[in-house]
Amino acid sequence: MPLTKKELALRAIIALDGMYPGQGWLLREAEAELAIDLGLHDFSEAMARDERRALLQQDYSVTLSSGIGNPITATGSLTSAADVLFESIRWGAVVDADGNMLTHVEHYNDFRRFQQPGYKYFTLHNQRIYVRSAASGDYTTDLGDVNGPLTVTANFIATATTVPAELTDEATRYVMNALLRLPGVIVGESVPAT
Amino acid sequence: MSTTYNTIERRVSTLLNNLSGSTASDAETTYTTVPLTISQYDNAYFPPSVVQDAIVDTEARIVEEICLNGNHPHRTLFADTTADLTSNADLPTTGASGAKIIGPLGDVYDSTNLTPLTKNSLKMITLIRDSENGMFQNSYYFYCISDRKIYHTRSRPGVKIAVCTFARSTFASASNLKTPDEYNDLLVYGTIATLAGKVTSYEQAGMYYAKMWDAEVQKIRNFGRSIDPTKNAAPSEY
Repeated sequence: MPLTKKELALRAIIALDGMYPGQGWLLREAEAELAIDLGLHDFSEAMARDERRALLQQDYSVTLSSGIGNPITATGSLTSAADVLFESIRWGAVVDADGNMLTHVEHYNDFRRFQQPGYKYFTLHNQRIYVRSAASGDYTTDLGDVNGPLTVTANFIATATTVPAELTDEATRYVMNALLRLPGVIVGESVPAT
Repeated sequence: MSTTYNTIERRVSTLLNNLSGSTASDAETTYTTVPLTISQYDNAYFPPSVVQDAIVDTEARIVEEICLNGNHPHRTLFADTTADLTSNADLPTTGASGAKIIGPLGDVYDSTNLTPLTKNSLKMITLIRDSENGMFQNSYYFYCISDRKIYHTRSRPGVKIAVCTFARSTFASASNLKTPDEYNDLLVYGTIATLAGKVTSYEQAGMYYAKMWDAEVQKIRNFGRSIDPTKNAAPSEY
């Protein structure tokens, strides 16, 4: 059964009340709800860099227009929400409509330069995915040489209901840490990872 | 609760020498007459209506003392709730029964599912109710009483507050008292203290019963309150 937002908030404040009794944690239910977004964003970013990233990955279908696609508005195959963690695309996969796996180029200015022929490429720039082939060597010609839509496998920004059961405790810990960072609580403390 | 008003009336009237009968037999006959009427009274200071009014007023004072002590278990005997209160509603002065609220307010709970609410700050409740851009999606059970109003996070019909209410009784000889039986003596003391203190020739009796009343009322007021030994230290000479 997936977590609910209320359950995640309650898990966090009940655990904090156990760790730091007598500080009114159980009355911070509303603060905990706000901390969920902060905590789960941290959690999602950390998971994207973690070996467990696949637990928070899904496919996004991204249409192309002149070699440019917008993944931010694309909805995920599992969550049906526009929730892509943009920076995680580089650790996922980008496949064109013909089944070609595109190669990631870190910087846009490198991406515009000459690339090794025989491969197709993508880079993340200006809140978009830019794609090209290296057939002609000229960017303006090659950008039209990739067929969409792209299938982008990337991490999503988790919400309470989309946290996989396996990562529930981890997500709760991130929400607790977000709560601990709020003004008026124990500054500098953090919940240790298990 | 199972003692009738008549029992208190005849006890009070006997102690005030109200009742007729110059022999024990006559006095017994008078004492056991129900209801007592003007025919059994023989004291111009305290005719029946005066005694009966004093009894119901004293009963109300005892109920008030019980209800004013939030720790007192007999508050339950006078339990009531308010009508449904939406957020920003004025605190009511009467319960749902229409009787006057006495003593501290009790728990606040949701009118629909009866879940109790927890106190929180007025600012937090305002933020949750405003929920800028839907930032609060969870349901909250918070309330705050500020000035003469109650604010809370529940939607209509809102909340109810557990309260104690009491309406002054109408004297009826055969009806049962609204106070439990253990307060019968207190009711007699209070009634006599009220009546006797106003008549010079009964002044001593009035003072005596007033002391008895005070002592018994203190028991109600102090019920459930722990004694701090540092505040009750023995005099220094001991």
